[in-house]
Amino acid sequence: MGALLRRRVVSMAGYLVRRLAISLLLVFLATSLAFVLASVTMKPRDNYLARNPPVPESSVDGILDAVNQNDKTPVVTRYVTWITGVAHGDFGQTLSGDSINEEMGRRIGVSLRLLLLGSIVGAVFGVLLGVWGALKQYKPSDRIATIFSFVMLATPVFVLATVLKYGAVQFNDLLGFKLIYFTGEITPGLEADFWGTLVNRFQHIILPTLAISLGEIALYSRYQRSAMLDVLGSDYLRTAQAKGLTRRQTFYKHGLRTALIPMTVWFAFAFGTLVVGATFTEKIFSWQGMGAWFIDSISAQDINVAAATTLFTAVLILFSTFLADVMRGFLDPRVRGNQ
Amino acid sequence: MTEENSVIAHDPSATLSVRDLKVTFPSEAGAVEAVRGVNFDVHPGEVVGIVGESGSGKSTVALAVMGLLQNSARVTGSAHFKGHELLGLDDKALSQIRGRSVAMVFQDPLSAFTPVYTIGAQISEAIRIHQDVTKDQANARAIELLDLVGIPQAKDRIRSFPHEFSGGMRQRAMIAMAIANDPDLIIADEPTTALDVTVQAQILDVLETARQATKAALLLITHDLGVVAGTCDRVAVMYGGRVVETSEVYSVFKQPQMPYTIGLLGAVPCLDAGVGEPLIPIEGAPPNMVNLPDACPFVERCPIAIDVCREREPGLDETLTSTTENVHQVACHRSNEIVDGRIDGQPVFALPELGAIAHTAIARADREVVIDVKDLIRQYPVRKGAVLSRRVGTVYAVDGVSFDVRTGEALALVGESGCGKTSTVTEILELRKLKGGSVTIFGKNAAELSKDEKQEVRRNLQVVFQDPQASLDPRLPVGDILAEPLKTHGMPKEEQRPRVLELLSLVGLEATHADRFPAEFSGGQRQRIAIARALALNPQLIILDEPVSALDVSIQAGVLNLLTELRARLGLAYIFVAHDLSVVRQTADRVAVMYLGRIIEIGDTDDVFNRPWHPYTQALLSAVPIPDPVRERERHRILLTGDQPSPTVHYEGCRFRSRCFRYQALPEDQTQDCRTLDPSLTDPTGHNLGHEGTHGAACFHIEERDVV
Repeated sequence: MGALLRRRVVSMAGYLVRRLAISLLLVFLATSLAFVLASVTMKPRDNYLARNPPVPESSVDGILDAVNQNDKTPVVTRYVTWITGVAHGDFGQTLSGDSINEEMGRRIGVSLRLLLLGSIVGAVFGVLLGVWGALKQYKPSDRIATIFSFVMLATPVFVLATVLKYGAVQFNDLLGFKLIYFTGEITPGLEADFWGTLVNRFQHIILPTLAISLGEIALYSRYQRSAMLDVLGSDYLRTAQAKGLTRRQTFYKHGLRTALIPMTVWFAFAFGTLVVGATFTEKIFSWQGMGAWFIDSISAQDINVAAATTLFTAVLILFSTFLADVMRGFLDPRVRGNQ
Repeated sequence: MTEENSVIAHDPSATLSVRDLKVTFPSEAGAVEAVRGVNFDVHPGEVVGIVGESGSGKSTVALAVMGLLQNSARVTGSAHFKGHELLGLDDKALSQIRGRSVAMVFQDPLSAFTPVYTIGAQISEAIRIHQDVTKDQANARAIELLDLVGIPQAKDRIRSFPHEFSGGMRQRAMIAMAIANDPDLIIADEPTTALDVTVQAQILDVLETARQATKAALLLITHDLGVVAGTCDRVAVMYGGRVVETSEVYSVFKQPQMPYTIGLLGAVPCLDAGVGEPLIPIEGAPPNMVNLPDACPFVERCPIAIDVCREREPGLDETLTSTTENVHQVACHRSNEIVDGRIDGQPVFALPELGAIAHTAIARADREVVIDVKDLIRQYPVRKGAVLSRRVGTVYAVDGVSFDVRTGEALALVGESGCGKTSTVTEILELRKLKGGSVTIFGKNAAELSKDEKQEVRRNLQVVFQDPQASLDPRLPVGDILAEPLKTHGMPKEEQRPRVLELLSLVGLEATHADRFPAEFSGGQRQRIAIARALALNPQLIILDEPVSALDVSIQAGVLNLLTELRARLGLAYIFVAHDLSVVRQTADRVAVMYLGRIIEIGDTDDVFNRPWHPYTQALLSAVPIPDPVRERERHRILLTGDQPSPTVHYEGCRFRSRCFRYQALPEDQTQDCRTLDPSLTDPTGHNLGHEGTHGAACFHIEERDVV
């Protein structure tokens, strides 16, 4: 009896270890590709060419060599230097010579706050809206939810963010004081206790969270709705009812869990679009996060920053995939592999 | 319509008493009247069968009684369970009855269990809903129940998930769940339809055990008259949403008085018929259940319809032979003129005339070999891992199969799912280099054909698939579907149309059908189109892969007759793949029985059916139910133990050994050969005839046995 259970646990653990190994390999490939691509296309040297008075070439070489971004060094050599650093936890320096590690530490916190809240709000409300829509199929409330979803799916994040910003201005005017903030993550120079700070941060985070999660909600709700409808028509719900569960019990005990299984795959997909959305959102709401930094690095032609931000994104996306696999393995005994 | 029906009072002694039950579903074409006034009673401990073809409303009746239909269904009438009305109860009140007093067993055991919970959890849930017991007690009871229904090592298997069970085991578990609360009534909706015939026999046995254990009444819903004959006390035949004939089971089978029942009984292929004997099809298709006129729903298909049948729907009335002990009711205006399935001295359904098969005059050995298959092997790799996939094993799907087919001959490959019969024919159709063995087709080695030769072979070798819905392009009119092979093989355009019309008439369709789309045809007609397409290029050999298993009995008979007739007229050879042994009885000249990738018995159809040698063939034949209650109940059924073993393992010795009743009965000193040697096809003296011999079985202890 115990043997079977133990075998199950072992096969589940084995499944996750295999998944993790594959994820690590993919992170390595993604970042290496990003570094090489950035090194080939970006020209940090151009930043110094148009200077007046002209900077001597030897000085430029010196500056670029110091940060491992000199195009005269072969890409392979630069890549080896860079990847050795990364392996030791050092992401190198920005063009201006600042430590990327320090800057990244600060920015990751900012981005994660936004992404975490955005994906939780998006997933939870998306699933709820989808389940609700399935239960009320073809009723007016379902139709309204459907229209909302399609409008949201058709609206690019930057349009939505701008509209939200405009709406917030109107709303604040109507109230006569500033309830919703739309620049930065905290009021600069704010002097308040812990709760005051928290409230202030919350006032700042509402709008960007909405901007990235509304699209997520729309996406999730569509898939959850159809997954739920599949389950509602299934034979096993009928069996569960036939053995004496009420409709309601049947639905929550046997229906919901099965309907969540396909959603785990969507969690991984949706997170990718969320990260992209967050890049714009950070720029529009002036949040100093990783997404904004990535965009800045392109205009600054900073190879190391571009590579570091890509690595961050790759890790995030693969982590979300891993998380999706864990959830799926937890929900669905059929994928736990051999027994 | 039948006003008198609604005034019949409930039978107070009945466990379940249904009166004037009507169910309508909304649809775009109008209200679908799925059930139109059904009355029946199930008494304590009784087995009542509801039999009918797809669309007859038989399952809807059961679901309506249990309140399990979708919300849009409109249910009227009355259903008393032990004197209490069930219809109109709210969900909460119904849930008190469901699973406790009335339990259900559904058709497809794979989809009927929630995939994410263990079998044990689902059975103990059923117990804990209705009984105040602890988790451990419920668990212990679940183990007991699984043991009762014959799941080996129930203690361990209780932690298995549904996908880890075979179909037969799942259905056993389903029955265990149904009897968990000692119900008074079990409703089984097509409980064995998705199962192989030997597993079906096991499950019917388990159902009987379960019934004995609970003393429950059983309402058995099925399309299989054989199953009804073997298990039911009383039977109700449904057609077009109504009961058209009901009585005690012996009377219905012996004295059917509704033409539909008579037709249905005549359409079932019989194990004891002769090769080439025609079946009696019921022409036409069941009625469309929207806006039914006030007429007998069977009138369009009835050979003895008179004017009144078109003007008024007959009520379900007692026949002249009906007595108070044995009520026999029939819904037919002419029922009292029908005696012994005959009217005015003539059979209600005339036996169709089929052309005689010409080749029977020439001895088999003198006829040309169309295809010769020797030691055919087909293996599938078992792979694991999505990104870095690797081979972890092999499925030995076809493991050394040999047979030949001669001009004008039909060879049936029969066996249960997973035996390799379909893999065998698809491998032949590939016309490619083989992993092992050889295929000689029309005198040429299939592996060494040039491109032109291949095209020529393809012209002579055609195929008809199981599901005519999937094998015909839904967006092409039938004329184009039939012209496509002609075009591909270079027939001039002006000759194509006449050929298409010729083909349509050959399979019994009309010229006007050429411009319609497949969706406008019934299942039987679609299969006729698929056959016509296979005939387009005048082939010599047609491979029929389960050609009638998707069709209802009354339709299936017509298609089988057509196949026999075409063979006689055109001198075709068939390889007929089937899981249903009775289907090939009248259609095939020779039968090869397959088990685990190997032919274990081959011979002339009469020999294999009347004098089966191999224990598996005997078990298989004895498991096929015969639609005759008297004979069916007298038969001795050989029950095989367990399921077919995994085809991923190579077995030493005889591959049937693990389930063989003869092996189990042999004294230890005689089993040496079974355990160590791989048997080849021999006659009872042990003389190896090879596959060309007239009759051979792969068994060391051949013993003739009469099982039909």
